[in-house]
Amino acid sequence: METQPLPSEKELVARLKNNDVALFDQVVKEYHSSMYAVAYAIAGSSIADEVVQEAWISAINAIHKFEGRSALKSWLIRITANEAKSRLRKESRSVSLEAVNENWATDTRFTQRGHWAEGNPEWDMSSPDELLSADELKDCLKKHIDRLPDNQQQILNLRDIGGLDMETICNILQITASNARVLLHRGRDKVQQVIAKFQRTGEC
Amino acid sequence: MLSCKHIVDLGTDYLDQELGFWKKTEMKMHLMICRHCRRYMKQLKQTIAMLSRWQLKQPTQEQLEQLKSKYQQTVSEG
Ligand SMILES: [Zn+2]
Repeated sequence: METQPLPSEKELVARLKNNDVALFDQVVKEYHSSMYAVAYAIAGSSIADEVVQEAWISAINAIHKFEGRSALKSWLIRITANEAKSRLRKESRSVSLEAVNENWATDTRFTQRGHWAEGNPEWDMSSPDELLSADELKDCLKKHIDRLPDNQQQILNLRDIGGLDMETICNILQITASNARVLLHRGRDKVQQVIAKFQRTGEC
Repeated sequence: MLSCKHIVDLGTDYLDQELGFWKKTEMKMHLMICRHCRRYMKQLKQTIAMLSRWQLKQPTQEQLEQLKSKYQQTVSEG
């Protein structure tokens, strides 16, 4: 579902300030998914939709003041993150690396000496399009991503699905860059394992 | 010596160029001789590419219409 690419930042912002509804429509479709991933990661699924709508409304109200010092997308993501944080009533979730390291010690993919126990076969489906065309696999991935520890799930949504940069993520989650990379890698590794198993056995 | 398990563990640091010179060199050497880890690194990149393309959530028609009318109203007054 490829749409036309958006115009350059400068033109984009100028036209948005000038009541270009068709372009606004395109911008919403283009950035909604990333904004949703960020809202979801910070505020949870029950209010993520609301947060995104509120963020768009804040953006619409402030667009005439937007000076283009950052990219429009970063600006929208920042508004979304702020909106999400202001709605969050729960205690902020703490980052624990202990559970992560425990799992690592008992990873059955490897022998005691750290070799692949049964090798690592090539994937039949490998391009993003191929992988994303398999609905069963997507459902399976959603299920497993939902089961990831909160902080791994958050960072996978913020970084890989939402496209936020690591520095901003560290600010939002209040964690160090090296912790962020460990959590991100655990999440990605899990997704890799789910895809690998699905390709090997056809099962979730 | 880095084991395969170590290589798998360092995947994201390697891709983000966060490894020191010696770790990186060790990892490159391991990848040269181990096809299982080579495949893992390829699959990790494919995993990330898939995640970044995953349009997990599109706005509903209703949400879109609501925002468009809000936009038209606000910006034309502005
Ligand atoms: Zn290896």
